Amino acid sequence: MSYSFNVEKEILIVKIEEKRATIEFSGTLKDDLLKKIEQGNSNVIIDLSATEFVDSSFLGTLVAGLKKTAIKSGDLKIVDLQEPVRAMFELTRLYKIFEIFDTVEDALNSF
Amino acid sequence: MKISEKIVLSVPPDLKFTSTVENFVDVILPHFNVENSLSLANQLRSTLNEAFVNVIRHSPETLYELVEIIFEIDKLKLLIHFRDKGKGIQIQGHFPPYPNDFKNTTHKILETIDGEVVAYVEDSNTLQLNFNEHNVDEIDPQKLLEKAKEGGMGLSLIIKLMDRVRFVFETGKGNCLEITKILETER
Repeated sequence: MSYSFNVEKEILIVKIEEKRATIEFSGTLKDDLLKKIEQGNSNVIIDLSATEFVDSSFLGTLVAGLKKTAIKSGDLKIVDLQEPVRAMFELTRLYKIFEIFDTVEDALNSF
Repeated sequence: MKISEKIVLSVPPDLKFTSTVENFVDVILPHFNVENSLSLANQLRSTLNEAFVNVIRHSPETLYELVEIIFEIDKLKLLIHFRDKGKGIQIQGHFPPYPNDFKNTTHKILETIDGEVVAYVEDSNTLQLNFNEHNVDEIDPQKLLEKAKEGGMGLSLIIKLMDRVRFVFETGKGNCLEITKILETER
């Protein structure tokens, strides 16, 4: 499986298990993520520690998730970016709309 | 300018080959003696991903033929051509060839949170794409979130990462996304 879901302190943690987070699974991730948010998981952490490469399709999925959590008065936060992934957040300026943390624990404590 | 080498990659029009296209960077890069090649490799990997996906998503006519990607390698620059059988980019209701009075005009293609992709009409068959960047520091994050879209980032990424991006249409042959990257050679 390309990603896994886990709930800790009532916050949904999505661990991306792939080195490449791209269009090959971003569509199914989006469907699953939006369903989870709709079911009441309005606060979400995306753990990208294992990921070395992201494309615009995956980033679009994160934007869709963030917008959905905002509608539910929640938030979607990002954790542990490797350098090439951080570069993509900077290049797209998405770092302006996502809160980004070094560790899952830091992100958990920020809600 | 003399083109010293040309490499052609033909790939089935299926997203499962996206990583194959990305990994072609490892075939191309050894032909250059460039500074900061890790950064260049990442830029090219992203560009190849976004361009390949763009061709498959926006050119349904392509789905019945192999996608042809041509790499022209020069000492100072890399040219990447993505050929497809699509109709090209629609501007004000027109696909290429565009009306003559479109020449030297600029049109907005799409918006992202940090700016807009615009197309300058060089001639009736050729568009040059540019990115007009806005200063996001002056925009309230809440407004940015409202403005954020799931799609449209791919083309803007290619333009930001590369030095020149053009769409060239040839009647009967289709469309070609031409990407140029100027290379900083080692001194």
